[in-house]
Amino acid sequence: MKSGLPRYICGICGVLMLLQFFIPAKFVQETVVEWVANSIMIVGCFGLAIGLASLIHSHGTRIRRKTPGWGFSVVTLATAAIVAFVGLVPRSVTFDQADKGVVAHTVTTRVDRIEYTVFGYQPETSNLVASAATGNMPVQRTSKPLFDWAYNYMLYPLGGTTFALLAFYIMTAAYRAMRVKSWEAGLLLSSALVVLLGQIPVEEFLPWVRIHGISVFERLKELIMNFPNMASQRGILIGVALGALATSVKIIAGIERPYMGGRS
Amino acid sequence: MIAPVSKPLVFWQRHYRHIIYVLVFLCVLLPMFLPVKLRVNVSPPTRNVFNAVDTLAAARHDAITNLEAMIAATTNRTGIARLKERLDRLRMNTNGVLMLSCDFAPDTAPELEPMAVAILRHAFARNVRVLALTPSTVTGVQLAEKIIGVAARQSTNLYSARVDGRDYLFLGFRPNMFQLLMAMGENISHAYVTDNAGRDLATQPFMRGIQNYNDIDLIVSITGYTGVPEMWIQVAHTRNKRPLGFGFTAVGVTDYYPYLHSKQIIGLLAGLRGAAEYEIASGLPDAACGRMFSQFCSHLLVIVLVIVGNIEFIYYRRRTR
Amino acid sequence: MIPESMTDLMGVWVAGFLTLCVLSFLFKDNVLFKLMEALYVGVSVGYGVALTWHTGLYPKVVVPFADFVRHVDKKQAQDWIWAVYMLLSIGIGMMFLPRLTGEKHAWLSRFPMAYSMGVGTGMGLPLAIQTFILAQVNKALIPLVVVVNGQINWWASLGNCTITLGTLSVLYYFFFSLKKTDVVSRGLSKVGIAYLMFAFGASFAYTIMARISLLIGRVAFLKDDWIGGTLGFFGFM
Repeated sequence: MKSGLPRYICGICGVLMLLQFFIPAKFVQETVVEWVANSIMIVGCFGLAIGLASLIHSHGTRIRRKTPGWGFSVVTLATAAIVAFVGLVPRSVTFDQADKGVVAHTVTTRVDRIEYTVFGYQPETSNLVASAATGNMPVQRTSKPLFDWAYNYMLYPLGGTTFALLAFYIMTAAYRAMRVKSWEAGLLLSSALVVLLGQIPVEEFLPWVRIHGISVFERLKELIMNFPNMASQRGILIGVALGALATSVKIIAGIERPYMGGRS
Repeated sequence: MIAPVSKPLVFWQRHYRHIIYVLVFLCVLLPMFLPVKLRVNVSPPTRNVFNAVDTLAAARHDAITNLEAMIAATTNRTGIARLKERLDRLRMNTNGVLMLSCDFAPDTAPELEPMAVAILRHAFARNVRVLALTPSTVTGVQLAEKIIGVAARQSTNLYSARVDGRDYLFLGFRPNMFQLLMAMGENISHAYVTDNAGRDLATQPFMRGIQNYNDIDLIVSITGYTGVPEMWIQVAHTRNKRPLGFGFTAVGVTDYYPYLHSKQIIGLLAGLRGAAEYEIASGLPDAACGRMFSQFCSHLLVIVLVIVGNIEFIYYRRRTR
Repeated sequence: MIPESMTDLMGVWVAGFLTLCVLSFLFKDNVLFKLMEALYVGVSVGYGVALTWHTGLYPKVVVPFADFVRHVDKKQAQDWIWAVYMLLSIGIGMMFLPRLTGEKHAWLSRFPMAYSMGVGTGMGLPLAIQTFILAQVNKALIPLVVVVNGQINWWASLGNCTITLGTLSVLYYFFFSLKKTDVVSRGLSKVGIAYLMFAFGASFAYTIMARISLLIGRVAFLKDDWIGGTLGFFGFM
């Protein structure tokens, strides 16, 4: 039952979902597909809990064993707990209020009122109280809970800057790795240089590269993108799709069982 | 490698990384102080997306006309009833409906945020109703909300600013993107249940004219995640035959040219350059155009570094021979 | 952008400090960067948990069931079948949770995974075939000689030949299980490699633009929001 039943469940569900594609009945195409899709969404939510538990377990182990760098694990878990807590608890305490007064726009006037709270997740779109119909000034009530603050001033800059580091590394990679060591490397380099020059408006500073209003590099770039690049990507795409098709059939047939967790 | 003979070369070989880092930073920062706004040519893939958004009202008018002709030609009573229901929904939004999927998070926001703002401002200027969502990433919800709010407040016309619930609706995030897209193909309100603000979609006046993809004239997905466009193409284009446009980070945009060639997508915006092209096309050069000068200087730096690297390579190869 | 209040100004300074700490990694791995990494993971996880409740479990599970229970007397057979199916889904989803208790009951999580994989694979397979194989092969089989109004369009014909040769040679190159010993096979593989080099070169160039764009975004924040915003808040700009 432990290994056989999941295989049958996967196979039966897979075949049923394949069959629904060929049954044009309204009940199947609308109701059943919607139910199944909602069902998978619900199951997926519980799957996220496993990821969370895994994180807590690995960091908890590091803290318990006091391995080098365990302090950072404390920071990770504490931050996660605080942000989740302030986001989940309903809004209650208001600790600051700023009334910006009347803000004149082109034809409408509006009062901007900003409320800072500790708890709660308050989507901005819920805040506009438009009362133009009654003749009162509409009030834009912007609620800024700590949860929002953590997103705007911690998650956003950390996420953005972590990926911005790659700009520096790719420049050093361009210097170190883009060397014409063979004909293939030469082709790669020449294609890269043409596309680089085609991406920037060189014709703003060198008018002589213009042909019928567009720089020659841009034209060459479009040729590279629409012909050799497109053909290569299509070849790769078809190859990958055929491989994925074979893998999908193997999963439905029970030959490949990735859901078994390494044990067949 | 034979050790270099001159001191500058020794210094360069020891510290080239840090020198390149400083040069990159300067090439990005210094152009920001110069008031240079570069004009870029609008490429055909970007122009296609722009034209599609620009002509949404005409597309909706054509859809209504075609449906009226279909109703006139149909004899099946049940069929006529369903078609008339659909016709009533189409007539509720005669300027067209755009579904904008903001599938990005802070890690790709600098490239994709200008694209989203440019498309939204263009759509609002054309009085198009916008149904926005973030089906792929939970960390993109507040970002998308902020972008839509900013674009709506900037898009004032003679009468009023764009109002949430009347001119646009933000649905937010739901888990399991593929299943969500499939469910939206039947009924968007049942798939999402509530919008991002927690309001029941079944009672929202905005959703009276929108049941599923058939009531949407154009779907534009702005994303940096591989796999997301493929899901949209499978569900929205292959299954539901809706026109689809993309904005993608420059990293992966080369992968989507086959779909452009096979007309599975109508157009493609490529990174910051795509955003700048869209701003030029819509006549409102903004953040993306302003950043193109930094891009210009950085690209020149890359070209110089590649040339210097190859000169060094050839020099050392000759010395070893 | 000038901050609207002292709270926002504090936030901008925190964001600026975090940005500089992450950038410090360029010179050397250091304690501040490690702290930022830990902070990033923590904030992402906390944010994900809260929003999964607000956007996933609450609207998809709590709201529909609360509505069902509120109007249970008006529900029809189809609604009851829906309710049972959704309860079953919750039960299947909860089968993930025994993984947390250890190895002994972890096998229960195979059922929800098998269910999700079966449904996902079956649902996506026909669409994947249509989208990625049939549509792309259809567009790959294009006329090598394009005739327009009785005359050969040489430019379009050259383009089509380039595309067809490229697609076939790249597909042929990736057939690693075939022995390519003769001149034609090796030649065709080399042509495939040439096409791939064009594609990778273009991809590299676009990658540079993408990465630089991300850096531009952060530098613009430091210049306009952190320094410019602070000076503007205190009235110096």
